[in-house]
Amino acid sequence: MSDQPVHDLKKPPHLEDIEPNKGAALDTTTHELKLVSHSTYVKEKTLQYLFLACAFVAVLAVCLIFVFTIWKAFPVFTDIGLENFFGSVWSPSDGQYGIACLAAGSGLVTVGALAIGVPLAIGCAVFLTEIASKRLSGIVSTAVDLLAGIPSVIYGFFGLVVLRPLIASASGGLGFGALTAWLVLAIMIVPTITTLTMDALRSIPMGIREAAYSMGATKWQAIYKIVLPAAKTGIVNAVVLGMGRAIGETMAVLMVVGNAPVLPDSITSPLSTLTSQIALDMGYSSGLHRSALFGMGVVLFIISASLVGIVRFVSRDREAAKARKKAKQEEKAEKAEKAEKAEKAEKAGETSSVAPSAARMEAVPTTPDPVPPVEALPPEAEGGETSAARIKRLLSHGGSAKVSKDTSNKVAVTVFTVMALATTAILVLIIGFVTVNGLPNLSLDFIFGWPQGVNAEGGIWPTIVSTLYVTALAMLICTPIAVLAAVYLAEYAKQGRLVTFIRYAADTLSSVPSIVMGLFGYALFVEYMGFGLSMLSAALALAIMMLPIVMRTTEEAIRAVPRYIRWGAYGLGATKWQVVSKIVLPSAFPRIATGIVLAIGRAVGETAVVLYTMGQAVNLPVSPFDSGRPMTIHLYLLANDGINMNAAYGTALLLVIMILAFNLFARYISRRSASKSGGK
Amino acid sequence: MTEYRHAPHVEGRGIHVQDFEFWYGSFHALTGVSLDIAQNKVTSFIGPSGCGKSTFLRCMNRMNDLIEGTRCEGTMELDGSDIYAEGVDPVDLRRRVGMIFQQPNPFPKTIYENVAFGPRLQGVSSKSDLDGIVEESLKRANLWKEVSNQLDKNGLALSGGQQQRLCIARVLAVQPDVLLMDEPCSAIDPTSVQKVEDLMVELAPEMTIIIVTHNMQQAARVSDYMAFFLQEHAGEPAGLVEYGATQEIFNSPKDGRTEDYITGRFG
Repeated sequence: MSDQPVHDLKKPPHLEDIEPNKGAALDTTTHELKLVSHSTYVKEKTLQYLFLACAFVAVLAVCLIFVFTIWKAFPVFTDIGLENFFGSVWSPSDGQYGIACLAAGSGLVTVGALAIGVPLAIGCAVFLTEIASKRLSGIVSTAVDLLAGIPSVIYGFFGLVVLRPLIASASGGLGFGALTAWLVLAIMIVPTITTLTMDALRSIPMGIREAAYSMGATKWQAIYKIVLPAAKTGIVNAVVLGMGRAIGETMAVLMVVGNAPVLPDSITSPLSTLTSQIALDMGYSSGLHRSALFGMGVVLFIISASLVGIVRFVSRDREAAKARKKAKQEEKAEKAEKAEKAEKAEKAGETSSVAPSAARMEAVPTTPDPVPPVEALPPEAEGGETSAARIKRLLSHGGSAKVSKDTSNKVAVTVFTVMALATTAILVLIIGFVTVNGLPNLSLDFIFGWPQGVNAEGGIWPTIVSTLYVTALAMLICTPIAVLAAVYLAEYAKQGRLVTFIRYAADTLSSVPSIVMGLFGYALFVEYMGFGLSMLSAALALAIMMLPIVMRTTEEAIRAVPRYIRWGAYGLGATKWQVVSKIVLPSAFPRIATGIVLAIGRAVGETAVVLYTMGQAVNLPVSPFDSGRPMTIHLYLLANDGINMNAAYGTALLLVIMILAFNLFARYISRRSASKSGGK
Repeated sequence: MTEYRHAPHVEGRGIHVQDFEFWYGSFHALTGVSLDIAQNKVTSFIGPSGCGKSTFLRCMNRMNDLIEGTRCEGTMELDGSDIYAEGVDPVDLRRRVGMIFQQPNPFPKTIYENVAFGPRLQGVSSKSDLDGIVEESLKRANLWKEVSNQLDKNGLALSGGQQQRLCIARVLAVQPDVLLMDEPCSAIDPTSVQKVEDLMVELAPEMTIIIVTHNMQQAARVSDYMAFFLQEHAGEPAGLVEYGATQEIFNSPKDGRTEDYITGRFG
């Protein structure tokens, strides 16, 4: 190359190299751009459509749930009649299917639970985000997470065995009723509301807090005057979703309300709710009675879907406003730029023209000075008093508050701390109660033995196998679909209506009350598809329940993978699928695994979904078409029958151990990956 | 090791700092800072990124107390009393030592409520008193003319420069003795910068102003005294290199490192 003449500066040197007369020896074909090969194109497109199909499973599931429950509920419109259905007497044997008393029960239970749970949860969230030291917040947030993981049947068991006798001795009745349900449900909705409120509080910029502090606000003043009002929308959303949880809760309520389908006359008299009545009656109902139960399922579905709709509407409103503002600003900037350009052009024209007319010069707008002339300083107020002096004088009018702000701050901080510690104490109490009572009953015979007598004596081995079998099967069905759906949403889809729609479907799916999911599973898998009460029917229903959880965590995990890693792979000539499968998914794996493990924890503890899809007969399942009895149902039946409470305690302890193990394992995975990637 | 050039000497009124050290957890961020800040003057802190000037500023109203694991040693006195002495209420201190931040941070409330927030904290509740304070504060912040007929508009709806002046009005409404400004002009447009600078000059006769800035010209324009901070080696604590009258430091820096920075050779 040294003998080559100096390159023409206008041409980059490599262009010269491929000029035919000079580069004869070079293989010119390597310089041509290769076209996309047909097979690659087909493969990439096929994959994309496959992912889209997976993403649509969520939409399909929501539609199926709605269609099947409404189809099964159809006689409500034709034979029962809406007047009867929305009446106030529930007496199926007399042809009375009025759900008003049940809806009233649901309402009463929910309102009370919110009244107790919301302050507790918001207190916890404020403590965790605004007050706690790192170490204390670690402990309390672990407690909140674990509370979320404890299955509802354990809460019900706790309410039945611990709270009910306490309330009975205080009020003189049996202890079944709204009051007991309030306490149990309040604890159950705390994790949901706390987590979402924390998200809302964390999204408030730190600068606003600093501004409040820098003006002499105490912590408490900054919290209730600035932070909480700023996070209002997020907190409302948290409460609405907590409300959805409370309305849809089945097992815990079923075990403590006393199940009397009447309008309750006091908070300590037995009542029944929509969910508990479905769970109670489903097993022996038929004909119109069963249709009425499905009708109640439709009502529950509509309630939970509208709550999700409200939340989405409220947050979308806010986002839309943000987008509008941004667009406006951009438009403004663009206009300003255009004006500037026009001005410049005009000026340029002006300088080029030799003799600009005087008239034209007049027309050229001199840049208007947007700065108003600085006022005479300092501005004199009436009576020759300076602004500063006037402010000082007015400030001195502020008397000292009745309660010093130091005291109110201390009181508030103490209250929040007590709330957070109380929540932690509740977790310790529940786990302690189960452990102390269950530990003496745990033995190898109990774990690996077969139930005897009326299934209340002996061991619980078949129920453990049933639980693990159905969970594994559900995971196998759910994981591939959920992960690929998330890949579609995060990597392939254009952000727009379609994605919003799929996300809405997933949110709706995750809010479907578990008993409604059970009804749907029964209608579709057990009856319509003919799988019968079986592992497969239960696993399919559970998989649909797990789907939105895994989808959401996977999508978040994929989005958290930094862009430059992707660019690196694309830069090396990887196809989209190669980038996704070889780079993105492996990097996101720890967080995806965390989501899957948490979903498994949910499935292990689930009761209402499997109640009428798996059956209740003790059986050691071998094929997916075998029926069985999972641990949760075993616990429910033992606790309700009260024949052998020792076996109930033992089962509860094993269940809690399994679920805590899954939850702690999930925390371990995410911690480990966080320390790996975040460590310096 | 610090060069002092006609640095003010404070007795009784003003801020007196002696042998100040500061740590973020185990990281020693500042060492051996000693300087006196004159009352009712404008003092600027300059230096390249990471030189600890903002950290030092935030020590002056104990804003760093809000960050877990921070700790300091040495003396820092405001008008003769140690602000880090045991039992000193940081909340009251911050009322006396107000702060303006880099990013304008109005509360998501109306303009009126933003300004009335501080007075309300102090127990002012009469509507007419509050009206007066809001009006005068906005006037002093040169914002009154632009917002007087839209006081119930959300503070966030203002432009960036207006937001920053709203934040200044908000601080003025509690009549602080000292005003700390942490790069107050780095996130606002040039015309607003002019207004904020004018404001500093106007306010100086009544309150001590300390400004952290990256902009040498701004420091030269507005400040009476200037302090140059520098972290010489990464991982080591930063310190005060040169301190004194702005004109003197600007025209004839004594320390070679100051000269390098002022003439733009690094930073």
